[in-house]
Amino acid sequence: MTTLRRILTVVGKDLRGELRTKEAMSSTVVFALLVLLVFNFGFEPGTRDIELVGAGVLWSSILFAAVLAMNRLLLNEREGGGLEGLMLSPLSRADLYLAKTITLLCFLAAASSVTLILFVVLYNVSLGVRIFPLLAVVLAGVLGLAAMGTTFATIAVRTRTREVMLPLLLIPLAVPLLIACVEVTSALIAARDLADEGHWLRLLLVFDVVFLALGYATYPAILEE
Amino acid sequence: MTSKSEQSGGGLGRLVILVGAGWIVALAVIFLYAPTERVEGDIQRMMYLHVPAAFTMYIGYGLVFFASLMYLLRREARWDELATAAAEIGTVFATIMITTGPLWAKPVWGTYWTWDARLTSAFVLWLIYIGYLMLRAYGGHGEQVARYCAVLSIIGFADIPIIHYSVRWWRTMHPDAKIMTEGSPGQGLAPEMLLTFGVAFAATLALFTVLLSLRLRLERTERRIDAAHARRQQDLDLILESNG
Repeated sequence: MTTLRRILTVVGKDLRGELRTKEAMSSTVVFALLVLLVFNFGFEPGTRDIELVGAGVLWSSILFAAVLAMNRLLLNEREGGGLEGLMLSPLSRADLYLAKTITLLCFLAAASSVTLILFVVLYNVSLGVRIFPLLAVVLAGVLGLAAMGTTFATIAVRTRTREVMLPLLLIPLAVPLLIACVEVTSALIAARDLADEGHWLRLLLVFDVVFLALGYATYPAILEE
Repeated sequence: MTSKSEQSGGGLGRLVILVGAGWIVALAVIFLYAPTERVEGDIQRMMYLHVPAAFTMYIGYGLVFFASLMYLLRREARWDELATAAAEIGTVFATIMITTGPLWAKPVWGTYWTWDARLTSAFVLWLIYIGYLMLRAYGGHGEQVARYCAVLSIIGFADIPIIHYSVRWWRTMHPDAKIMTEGSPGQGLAPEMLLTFGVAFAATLALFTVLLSLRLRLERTERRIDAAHARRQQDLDLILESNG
């Protein structure tokens, strides 16, 4: 079996497990919905406020729901001894990082797409075809979150404080990603020209590439017991 | 006969006294020699604390990164000890920077805090290392937490330039750097101010060095005691086993 096949086998196993219980997916989407509900009390519906704060609302719900999901997925793994089992497989530990990141990406992409649709409906955002570039931004954003999240969720669930540790480590480090995502999302919601947002798109790309590479390089040092 | 550790303790003791004396001189220079700034008045003297603290923070965090990298490559406990000490002392100076900043800003800008680029990135950087210290405290047993912290500091250090640019594009009220201006360093300041700054910077660096050495010594002692406890426990277990 080639390395790619092995990685995809692990991803398939993880996604099948989640499809059977739907535990992490359902709790994540409901949580995102609750964040959308709470933010709604902050401003008057049907005003131009949405152009100003909409992007922040969307990304807050994606971020907090993502933190919840990462903890859930890696905590299940921890409690079932899943990663320890996989460490005995012929997959290298760096490749294990790729497998876990792809799983997390699939998961976050699905949950965030649902969140995006809920956001558009509940906040009455008129996006039209701009929903497709926005979906692409959401995917690029959750790729960066997954790249960092795999590393820090693996660390967090092995600490004494467990799930409390993940947001403390992840959120400050994810600040550039969040700023870039919020800026591009605002431009799309307000129907501004995307050509002026080129630097943010580049930053998003750089962030994704840098932290995928660093995650790949450092994961073996985390899984060393 | 004095043991080696007592001797180094004595040397460190003298260094502490020297740094204390240096700070009395630095404070005298800051308050008596340095001219009062025309627009901002006396509050501008905050610069002699604020700016060196910020530079020193970067030195501390740079050390954490270097020591973490060395730890992951060599797996020698001394690099982890250095990373632990430098992260804590670096955060002491980061906290000095982040508290003197608002105190200086209130009379000058009319507000304690504003989400300007430099302030935001300094705040985010401080939060990253607060997270690092939390991970140190709750990360588990010695060798495991050493690896986790090393990974965090390497990823965090790589993030610093990305945070810097993202926040700068996002918005930019903090005055431009006055000390390290491009071309000729320090051209933005009166010569007396530059001299005072130099004295304050030297005193801050000396304070950093002495605090780092003290913290490093504390870390080593703690680890020796932990190791001795573990050995004693092992011995007791053996005795109990042979008796039982």
